[in-house]
Amino acid sequence: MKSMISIQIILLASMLFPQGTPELSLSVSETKLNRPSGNNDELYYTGDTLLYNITAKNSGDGIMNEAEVIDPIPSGLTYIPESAKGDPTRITFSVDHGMIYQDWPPTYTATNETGEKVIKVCTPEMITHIKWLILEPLNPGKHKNLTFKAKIN
Amino acid sequence: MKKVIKYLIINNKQTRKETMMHINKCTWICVLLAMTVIGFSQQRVLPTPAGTAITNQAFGDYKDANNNIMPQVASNIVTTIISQSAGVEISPGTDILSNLSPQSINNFPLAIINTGNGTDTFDLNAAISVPGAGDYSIEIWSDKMEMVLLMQVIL
Repeated sequence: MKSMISIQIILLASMLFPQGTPELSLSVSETKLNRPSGNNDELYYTGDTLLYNITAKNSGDGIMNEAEVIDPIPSGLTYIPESAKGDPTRITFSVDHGMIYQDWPPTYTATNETGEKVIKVCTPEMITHIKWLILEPLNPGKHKNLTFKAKIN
Repeated sequence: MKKVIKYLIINNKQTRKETMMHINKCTWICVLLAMTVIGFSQQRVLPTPAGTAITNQAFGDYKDANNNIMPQVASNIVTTIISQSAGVEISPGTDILSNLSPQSINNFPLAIINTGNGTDTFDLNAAISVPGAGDYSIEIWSDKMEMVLLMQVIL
C-alpha cells in the first residue's frame, strides 16, 4: 500500500514539475565586415575582417544549465582583441589549444635575458580558442548569440 | 628616359631578365633612380596563401536541470576560401647615386619581395633622371632573393 502511494506521489510530482531533456544546437555563420557597400564581391582577401556569429539554442524540452561554447580560432585568422561578445556570458581565452582558459588579456610566463621568470601579455596572434560560459539557465526554445571578429592573416 | 623591364617573380625569387636598358648621354655625377611597380600594394608578413580554405566550427558542452553532463555537440562548419591578392615591395624605392666616375661600374642593391599571397608577375619601370648628358647602360641581375641593379657609366 505504501509503495503504491509513493509511486503516485512521484507521478504527480513529474506532472507538476516536468524535467525534460535539454538539447544544445549550435549554428555558426560568418559575415565579411569590410565588404564595400553596393559591391557584391564574394571574395575574401588577406586583411579582411570577418564577424562570426554562433547561435546557441536549447532545442530540447528541458532546462539547460552551464552551457559552454568553444570556438577554436581557425588557422589563417587572428582574433581581434575585445571583439568577443555574448550576454550574459563569461568569456575566456586560451593560448595553448584549449588546455587553460584566462580572462582578457591572457598572459604567459617567459624567461628574460637574465634568467628571471616574467609575466607577459599574450598578443592577439597567440589566441587559439575562445570560450563562452552562459551564466544563466537556457529554457527550452531560447537561444543566445555569441560573436567575435577575426582578421585574415 | 624610361623603359620597361619585366621580371618573373616566383615565391620571392626573381628569375628572368627580359630587357636591358640603354640610355644615351651622361657625364656625370648624380643619378636619380626610381623604381615603380604596377599593381603595388601594402601587403606584408606571411599572408595566408591564396586558395586556403579557412574552416570554423564551434563545440558545446552543457548540463541538464539535474546537472547531468550531456554529450558534447558540434556546430556546422563555415568555410572561407582566400583569394589571391597582389603585393610587392621594393627597397630602396628611390635613391641618389653620387660621385660616379666615367667608365665606372656601380652596383645598386635593390630588394624586390613578393608580399602577395600567391605566385605573381610584375612589370617594373625604371625611371632615371640624369642631370647632364652622356652614355650609360643599366642591367638588372637576379641574385636569388635579391635583385642587384648594375649600372655602367660610359663616356
